[in-house]
Amino acid sequence: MKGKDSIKELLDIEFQRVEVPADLKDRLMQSIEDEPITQTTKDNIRKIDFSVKSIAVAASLLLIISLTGGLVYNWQRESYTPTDTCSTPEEVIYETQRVYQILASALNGGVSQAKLHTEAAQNKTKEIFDQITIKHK
Amino acid sequence: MKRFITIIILISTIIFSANAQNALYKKYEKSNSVTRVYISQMMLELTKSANLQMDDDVSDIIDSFDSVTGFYLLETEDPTLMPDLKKDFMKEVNAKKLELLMEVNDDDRVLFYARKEGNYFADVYMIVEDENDEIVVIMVSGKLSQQNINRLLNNVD
Repeated sequence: MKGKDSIKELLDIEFQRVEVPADLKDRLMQSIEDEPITQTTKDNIRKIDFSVKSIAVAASLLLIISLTGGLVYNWQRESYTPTDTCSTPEEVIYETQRVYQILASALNGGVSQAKLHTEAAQNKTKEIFDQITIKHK
Repeated sequence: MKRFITIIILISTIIFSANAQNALYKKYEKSNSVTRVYISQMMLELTKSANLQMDDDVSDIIDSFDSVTGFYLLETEDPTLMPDLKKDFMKEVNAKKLELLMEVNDDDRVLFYARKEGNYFADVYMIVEDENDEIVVIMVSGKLSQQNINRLLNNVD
């Protein structure tokens, strides 16, 4: 504390020697006012400032709109129900039989072809095996 | 926040995974040159409960479609519609992710598609192409059991 006081006393003695002009304050204020104002930002760059809250609100709205749109679209899609083309049970029996026969003959056609080819392959394999057996004897 | 996101994802999954009714049938429903047949499960049940006099074979046939929710038949001889019908059929098969069960190339070309769910074949789709003459598409929605398939295999007139 004594050191600080002594420094303060020394500074006060020094400042007393300096002559401060009476109109210094006015001159300083004038020079500040005369200084031209320089722009720190460029005119062609527009700064957009969004807060996080507004972005969150916009994202939520977008989500709700897309979910609603999806719900409506699916509801329209699912609300389609085809109408029965048969009006009497006899027609139903006839058409059911017809479909059944088409399915059955197609399935059987494929299976019988597969059986034919399998049998042919088995016969061929047996032939080859017999020939190999004869040769070895 | 995590819970909110999980709920949103679940809702989106439910909304966007819902399956539409048969889109292929819907497309050709109003076409004049396509013969179409649709029989719903309700109609099949009505027929069974109508106590009509029918042969055992026929009664067996109706019974085999017990777990079927509907079947659709589309038939056309219009050469301008055939390529579109074929293309739309393949689109529907790919959309439902059905597997090719059988392909027969004889006088007619027959393709069988279905999806295996345990012991059942779900959504059996079939297309029969007669070169330049006609195309027949049959779509069976619902499930056909192994027994039903065996019955089909053993039942040809």
